[in-house]
Amino acid sequence: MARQTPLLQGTLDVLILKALSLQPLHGLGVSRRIDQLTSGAFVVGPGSLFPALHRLEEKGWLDASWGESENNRRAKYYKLTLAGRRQLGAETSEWRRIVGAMSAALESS
Amino acid sequence: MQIVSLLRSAWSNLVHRDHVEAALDDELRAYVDLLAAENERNGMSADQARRAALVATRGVDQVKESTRDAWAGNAIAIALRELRYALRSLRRSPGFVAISVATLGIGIGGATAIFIIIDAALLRPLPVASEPDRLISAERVKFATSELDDFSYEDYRDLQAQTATLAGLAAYNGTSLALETRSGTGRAWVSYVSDNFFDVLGVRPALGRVINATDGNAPGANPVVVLGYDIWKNRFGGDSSVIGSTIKLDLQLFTIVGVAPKGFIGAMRLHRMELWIPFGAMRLSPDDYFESRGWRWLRLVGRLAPRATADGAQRELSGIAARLESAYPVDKGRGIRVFTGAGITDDERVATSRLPRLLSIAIGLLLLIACANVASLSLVRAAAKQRELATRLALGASRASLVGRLFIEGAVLAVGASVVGLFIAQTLTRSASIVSTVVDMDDLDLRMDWRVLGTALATTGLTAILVSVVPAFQVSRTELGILIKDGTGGAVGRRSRRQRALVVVQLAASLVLLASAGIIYSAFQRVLETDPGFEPRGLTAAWVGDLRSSGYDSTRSVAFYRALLSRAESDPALTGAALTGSVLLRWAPRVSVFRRGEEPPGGHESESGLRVRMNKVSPSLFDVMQIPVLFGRRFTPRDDERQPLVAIVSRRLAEAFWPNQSAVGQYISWPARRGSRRAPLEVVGVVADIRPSLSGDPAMTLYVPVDQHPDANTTLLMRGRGNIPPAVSTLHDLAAGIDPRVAVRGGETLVDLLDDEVHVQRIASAWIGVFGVIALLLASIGLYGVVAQNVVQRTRELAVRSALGATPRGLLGLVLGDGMRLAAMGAAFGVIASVFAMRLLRNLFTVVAPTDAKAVPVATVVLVVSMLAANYLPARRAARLNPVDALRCD
Repeated sequence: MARQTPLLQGTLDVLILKALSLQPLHGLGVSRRIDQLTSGAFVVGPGSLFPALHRLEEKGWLDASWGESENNRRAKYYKLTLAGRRQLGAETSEWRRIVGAMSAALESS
Repeated sequence: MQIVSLLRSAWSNLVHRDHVEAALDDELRAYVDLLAAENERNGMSADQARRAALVATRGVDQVKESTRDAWAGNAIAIALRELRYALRSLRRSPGFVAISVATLGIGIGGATAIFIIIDAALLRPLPVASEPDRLISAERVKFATSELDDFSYEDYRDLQAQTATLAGLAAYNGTSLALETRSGTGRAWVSYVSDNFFDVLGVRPALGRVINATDGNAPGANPVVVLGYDIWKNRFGGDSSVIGSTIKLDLQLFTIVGVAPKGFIGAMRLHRMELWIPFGAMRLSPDDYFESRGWRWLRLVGRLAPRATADGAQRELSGIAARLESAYPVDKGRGIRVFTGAGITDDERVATSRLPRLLSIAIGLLLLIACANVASLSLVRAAAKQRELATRLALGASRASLVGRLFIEGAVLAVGASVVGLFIAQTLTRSASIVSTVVDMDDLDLRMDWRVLGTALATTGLTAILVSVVPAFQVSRTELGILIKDGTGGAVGRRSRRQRALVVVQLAASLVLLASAGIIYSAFQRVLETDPGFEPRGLTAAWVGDLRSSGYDSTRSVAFYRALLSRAESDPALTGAALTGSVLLRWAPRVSVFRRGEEPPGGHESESGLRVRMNKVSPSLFDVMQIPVLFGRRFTPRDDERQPLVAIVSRRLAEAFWPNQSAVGQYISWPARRGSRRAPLEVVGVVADIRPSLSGDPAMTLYVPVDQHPDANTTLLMRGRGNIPPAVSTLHDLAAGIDPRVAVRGGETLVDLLDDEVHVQRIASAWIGVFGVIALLLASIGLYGVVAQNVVQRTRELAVRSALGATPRGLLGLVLGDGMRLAAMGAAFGVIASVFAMRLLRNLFTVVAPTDAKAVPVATVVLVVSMLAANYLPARRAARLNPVDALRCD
C-alpha cells in the first residue's frame, strides 16, 4: 500500500465530486475511486465519507438513488447534479490557483 | 438554490426522521456487505471477510452519529430530543413540576393583575378626550396643618379671572341625588359643574350638547343635564329622542341636552359620575354658596396654557392666594397647592401618592417569594438528582451536555409557568369583580399590561432556568464515586444544612410579606370600623325638598317640620325621631365662637375665635343618635324662641374653653354673620365628641336648638326598631299626612352615608386583601413543596430507622420535631423582620397604629400551621411505609 497522507481540510469534498464526475457510485465505490485517483495516497474511511456524502447531497450537489450493485445488492448510488458539476469546475480552478501560487512561492529562490 | 435544497433536507430530516434513519441503516449495511464481498473476492473466508469489514468500518454507530451530525437541521433535532428527554424527566417528579409551575404562575399572574388593576384605577390619566397630561388639579391648603380643602365660589371666580398659566379652569363637585325619570325613581351620582367643565376637560358629547357658556355659573343657570353614556343606555334605552325631555333631580326639573361620550366618568377617578348639571342651576342658598368666602365646596381642575408648566401654575396660583390672604381675613393662613394630573381627590391622594413605590416593593416581594420557592425546590430536587447526574458524568457525558439538559428542563418549567401566569393574570383582571363587588369599578379599562407581564416572566423564567442548571455544576468529578455509591451525596450534612437554611429564610420572608399585608389591611379595616361617636345602625336620614317649592314661607316651613317631628315621634314603627341641620358632621358649617367677653368688636362672624362645627338640632337628637350626655342636660321642647338662648357643647370644645372647670352655666358667643347681634348662649350641657369623618379626629361641636334658630332646611333622622333602618317611605307617609302636596326628596341610611366616605379605604383594603391571599397561597405552596420534598428525601433514612425498630409514632415525632425547630427559627426571624416592616409601614401610612401589629402573630400562626401540615402529611406516609419497600424504591 502506498504511503497514506492525511486529508487536507476541504479536499475531501472536491475529491468526492471528482470521483463521481465519470459515473454514479455507491459509498464504497466512491472510497475506492478516490483510492484509485490518488494512487492510494488518500484512503477515505466511512467515518468521514458518509457525513461528507450526506452533506453534499443536502447541498444539492449530489443526487442519491437506490440501485443494484455489481453483486446484486441494494445500495445507495450517488451521482453528480448540474450544480455539483458546476461546483467541481469552480473548485478545480480554485485548486489550480492555490497550487500555482503555492508552487511559485515554494520554488522561488 | 443551495438554501432551498438545505431547507428541504432539514424538513425531511426532522419530519421523516424514521425514514431517513432507516435509509442510513440500509446504506451502512450495504457498505459493510460490499466491503465483506470485496474481502471475500480477495480470498478471505465468508466469516473472516465479514469481521474484517466490520473492523474496517470502525463502529457502525459512530459512523452513523457523525453522519447525523452533518445533517441539516440537526441542532433542532437534538433540541427536540432533549426537550422530549426533559419532559420525560419532569414527568417523573410531577409534584415538583406542579408546585414550581403553580408558584411561579401565581407569582407572575398575581403581580401582573394587581399592577394592572391599580394602574387602571389610579396611575393612568383620566379618560378624557384630549391631552390628559396637561390637566392639573388645585387644592386649598391650610398652612398650619397642611390640611387640604375645597375652594369657595369667590375663590374660583378670582382664580379664573387672574390666571394666565391656565388656559381654562373649571369647578365641580359631586353628590348623590334622588333621580326621577318617566320609568321610575332611584338615586344617581350627580356632578355639579361650572359651565366650562367639559370644555376644559376636552370632552365632546356623544349626542346633543354638553354644558357650555350659555348655561351660566351664577344662581339661576339653565336647569339642564348631560347624561352619562351608561345611564343613557341603561335607563333611557339609548334612545336619542330623550334630548329635550326632562328628569327630576331632588324634585327639581332638568332638561336633558346631551349625552357624554362612552367611558367618561367625570373628573373624579374613584367616583363614577352619571349625570352633570350646572351648579348654578341647583337650589343652593346664595348667601352661603355664592357669597361666602368661608364656604368652600368646589374642586378645581385646570388645563395648562400652551408652554405653561405645572410649576409655573403653582407659582402663579400661590401669588394669587397670597393676595387673597391679605384681602380677606377668612383666607388667612391658606394657600393653594397645584397637583399634576387630575382625578384623584385630596384624601385619595394621601392614600395613593405612595402607592406606586409601595406597589413595586410588594410586587417585587411577591416575585421574590415565587423565585425563592422555585429555587429551594430546585435545590431539594438537585439533591435527589445528584446520583443520576454523577452516573451520567461517570459514563462520559460532558458537563456541557448536562447543563444543556437541565437548562431545557428549567425552560420547560418557565414556559409552563408563563402559560399559567398569563391565564391567572387574565382571569384575575377579568374577574376584577372580586374587587368591584366592594367598589364600583365596572368602567376601568383593564388592558393586559405586557411590560409588567414581560418583566415578571423574565425574572421568574430566568430564575427557574438558573436554579435548575446549578446542580450540574455542583457535581464535581471527585465526588462521583461517593455520590454513586450512597446516593445522598458525600456532602450530605452541608447540603441539608443549606436546605434547612432556605426553609427558614423562606418562612421568614413569607411571614414579613403576609404580616405587612395584614398590618395595612387591619389599619384600613379599622378605619372602616371606626366608631363615629354615635350609633349609625338603625338610622335613616330623610329630607323633604325645599318647602319653598311647595309654596311655604319660612314660618310655615318651621311649623311643618314641627308637625312632622311630632308625628314621627308618635309613630309606633319608630323608636325615635329628631331634626338635625346636618346629618353628618362634616356637612355641618364651621362657625367662629368665643368665650363671652372675648368676641371682636362689631359682633359679626370672623375667622378669629375658635372654629367649630355647628348643628341645629331638636331636643331628641342626642337620644336618637345615641350620643352620650356627659354633664348638664339635653335640650327640651321648652327651649324655644321665647326663652334665653342655650347651647350644648361637645367635650373637646368644653375642654378648650373651660379647662378644669365645669362648662355648664358658662356663656359662649356665636356672632351672627350679618344683621342684628346675637346674645351669648348659655351652655346647658356637655356631650361626647363625634367624628366629622371616619378617618378624622372627633370634632369640637356646638349644638343649638332648632326651635331657637328656625331653619327651613332640616333633615329628619329616624331610628327603627332592632337596628333596622326605617324605609324612606315612612317619611313619605308622615309628610303626606300633613300635606299631600309635599314630596319627599329622598333619604339614605346612615350606614350607607358613612360607607360613601370610606370609599378609598374600602378599595385599598379590598386590593390588599387580594394581595394578601396571593401571598399566603404562594407562601403555603412553597413551604409545603420544600418541606414535603425534604421529608420524601429522608424516606430511606426513616426506613432504616424503622427497620432498626423505630415506631411509626416515633418517626412522625422525629420529622415533626425537626419541622417544629425550623418553623420556630423561621418564625423568630420573620417576627423580628416584621417589626421593622411595621415601622416602615407606619411611616408610609398614617392610619397604621400599633394595634395593627396583631397581624404579625396571626400571620405567624397561619404560616407555622401550614408548615407543620406540610411536615405531617408526607411524614405520616413515610412512617407507615414498609421499610423494605422504602429501601428498595430508590
